[in-house]
Amino acid sequence: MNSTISVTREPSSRMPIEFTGRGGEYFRIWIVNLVLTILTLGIYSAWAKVRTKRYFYRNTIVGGSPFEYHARPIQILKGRAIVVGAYLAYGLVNMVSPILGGILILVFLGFLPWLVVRASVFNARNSSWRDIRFNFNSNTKAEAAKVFLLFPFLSIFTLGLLTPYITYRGWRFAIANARLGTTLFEIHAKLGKYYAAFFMTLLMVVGVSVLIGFFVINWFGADTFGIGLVVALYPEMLIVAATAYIVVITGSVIAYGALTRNASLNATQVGPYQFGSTLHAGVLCWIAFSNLLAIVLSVGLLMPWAKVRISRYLATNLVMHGPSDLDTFVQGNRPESRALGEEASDFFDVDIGGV
Amino acid sequence: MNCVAYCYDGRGSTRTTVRVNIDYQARVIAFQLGEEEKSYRAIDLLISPRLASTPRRIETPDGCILDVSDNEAIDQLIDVAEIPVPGRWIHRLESKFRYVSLSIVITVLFVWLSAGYGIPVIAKHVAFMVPVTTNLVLGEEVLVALDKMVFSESQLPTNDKQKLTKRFVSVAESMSDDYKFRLVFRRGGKIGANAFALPGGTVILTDELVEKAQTVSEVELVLAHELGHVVNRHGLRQILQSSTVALLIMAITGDVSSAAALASALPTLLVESHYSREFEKEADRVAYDYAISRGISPRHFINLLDRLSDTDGDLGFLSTHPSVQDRSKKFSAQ
Repeated sequence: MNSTISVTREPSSRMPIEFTGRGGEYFRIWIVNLVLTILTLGIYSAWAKVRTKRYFYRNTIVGGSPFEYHARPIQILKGRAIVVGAYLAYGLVNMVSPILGGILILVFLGFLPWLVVRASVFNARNSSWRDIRFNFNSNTKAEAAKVFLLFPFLSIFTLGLLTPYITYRGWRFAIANARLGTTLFEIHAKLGKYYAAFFMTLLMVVGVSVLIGFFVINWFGADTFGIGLVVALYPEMLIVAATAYIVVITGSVIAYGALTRNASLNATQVGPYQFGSTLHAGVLCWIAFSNLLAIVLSVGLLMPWAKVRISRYLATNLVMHGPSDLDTFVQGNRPESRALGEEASDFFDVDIGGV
Repeated sequence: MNCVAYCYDGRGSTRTTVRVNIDYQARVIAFQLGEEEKSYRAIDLLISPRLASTPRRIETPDGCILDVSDNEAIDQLIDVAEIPVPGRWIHRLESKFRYVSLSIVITVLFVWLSAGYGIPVIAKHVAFMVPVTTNLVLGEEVLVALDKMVFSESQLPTNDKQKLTKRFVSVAESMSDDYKFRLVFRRGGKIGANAFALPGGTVILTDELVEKAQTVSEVELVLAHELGHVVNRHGLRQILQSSTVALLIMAITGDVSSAAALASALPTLLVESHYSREFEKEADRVAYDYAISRGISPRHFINLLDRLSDTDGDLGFLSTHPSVQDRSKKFSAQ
C-alpha cells in the first residue's frame, strides 16, 4: 500500500499564500495571554509572544504547509528584561538630566545596527517551513549601519529625497540576506519604482491638502479675511484641519508602504520561485483606518480581530509562481546552523517594522 | 484509529502524505513512509501543545516531523499515553467560555484599578522614598527654556514684589524646609495669568495673575497651592506615572507600532488628565489647610479662580484641572 501522493510536475503554477486565522479564535488566545501576563507581573509575556507568533505562523500556509516558529520563551524573556532595563535606565537618567538622556539615546543608536542584525538572525533561525529553517547572514553589521543609521542621518539634509533609496536598501537588506535552508533569496528591484511610489504619494498629499484648504476657504468665506481670522473665529476648525492632516499623512505613509512592498516582493525570488504582491494602496488604507476606529471604539477588545484582518489581507495578496511540487529546498548543514543558533542565544527579541 | 498527516524529513522540503495508525491500547503510532514501515512508542514523541485549530507538530526520535490536523485524535493519545506536553492547560483556558469571560473581567479590572489607584499609589511611595534632592535637579532647565520662548521681565512695581515675597516666605515656612524655595516674577506674555512650581521649589508668578488679583491674600493662597505641588512631589510622581502608563500600554498592546500608538493616544490622554486633576485637588487641599491655619478665608482662592476661569471653557474628562465649581464645592465643604 503506497500512500504517497504523486504530484504532476507543471512548468509554472500560481500558488497563493493562505491565511486561515480567525478573529474569534485569536481573541481567546490574546485575552488568555493578557491575563496570564498580568497575573505573572509580565513574565508570561515571553510565552505569550511565542504563542501569538506560532498562531500566525501555523495559520500561514504555502503549498499546503504551514510555517513554524521555534523560539524558546526564555530567550525572549532575557531580551525583554534587557529592553525594560534600558527603558527604566533611560527614564531615570533623563529625569536627572535631559542632556545625559540625549547622550544615552545616542549610545543606544550606536547599538542599533548590531540589534537589527541580531534580531533578523534570531527571527530567521527560529522560523521554518516544511521543517527547513530560514537563516539570515549575520555578517551584515556594516550594511545595517548604513541602511538604518547613516542614510537616515544624511536624509535630514536632503529634504527627504533619500527616503525611497533608504526604503529600497531596507528591503534589499531584509531579502537578499535571507535564505531558506541553502537557497538564497534574491531581489532585483528597480530603484526607480521606489521613487515613483514616493512622488505618487507626495502628489496625493499635496492634492488632498490643497483640496482641504480650498474647502475651508470656500466654506468660511475666508478669502477676504485670511486663514488666521478663520482660525480665530472658529478654533474648532483647527482641530478638524489637524485631524484631516494627520489622516492624510498616515494614509500616505500606508500607501507608500503598500506600493514599495509590491515593488520589492514582485522582484523577489527564492530558488525557482518568483513572488507576486498585489496590494492595493486604497484598500490597505481603508483596512488600517477602519481597524483603528474599531480598536478605539471597542476599548481595545477588537484588536485581535483587526490583526487577523490585516494579516489575511497581506497574505491573500501574496502569491508564488513556480514548480508546484515545492520540494527543491534542502536544509544543508543543519547541525552546524543549529549550533550557531545556540551560541548566539542571548538575542534581543525586537520586531523590526512589518517586513 | 487512522488519521492523515504530512511528513517532512528535516533534510529536504519534500512533503509526503502518510496515513498514521494510532493504537491507543498499545500506545504506539505507525505509518508507512515509502518502503519503510515506521513505528514509535507514544511516550517517545515530542508533541506541540494544542494551539486553536492549527495542525499539531509531532517530532519522532529519528527526526521525522509530522503535521497532523486531527487535534482530537492527538489529544486522546496524549491522555491515554500520559505524554508530557508543557503548556497543555493553556488551550483548556482558551477553549472554555467561562475562563475567557473571566479573563476579560480580570483584564478590565486590572487596567482600571492599576491606572486609577495602583500606579498613583506606587508612584507616591517611590517619590517619597527617594531623597528630596532628586527634586532639586528636576526641571531646572524648564525656566531657562520658558525665559527664552515666552517670558519677559516682570514689570511689577518693586513694592508689590517685596510684599508678595514676604507672603511667599511665610507660606514656605509652613512647609518642609528641604526644598530651595524661591519666588520669581515674570511677564507671562502668551501664557497670561498663571503660576507654576518647579519640583525643586521655584515658583514662577506672572504679572498678569498679580494684576487680576484684588487682594494679596488671593495671591498668597495661589502660592500655597503651588508649594502644595512641590511638597507633594507632583513633578516626580508625574514622571513616574507617565512612564509606567506607557509601559502598561506597551505590555497590553504587545507592540510599539505606530497604529498601536495612535490607538492608545486617547486613553493615555484621559489617564494623564485624570492624574493631573488629582494633583490639583491635592494642591488645593494644601492651600485650604494653609488658609485655615493662618486665619485667611479660603474664599479668596475661589474668588481668584472664578475671575481667571471666565475665559476658559470646560473640557471635562480631558481637562487638566478640576472645574472651578468642583474646586469651590470642595472648599466650602471642608
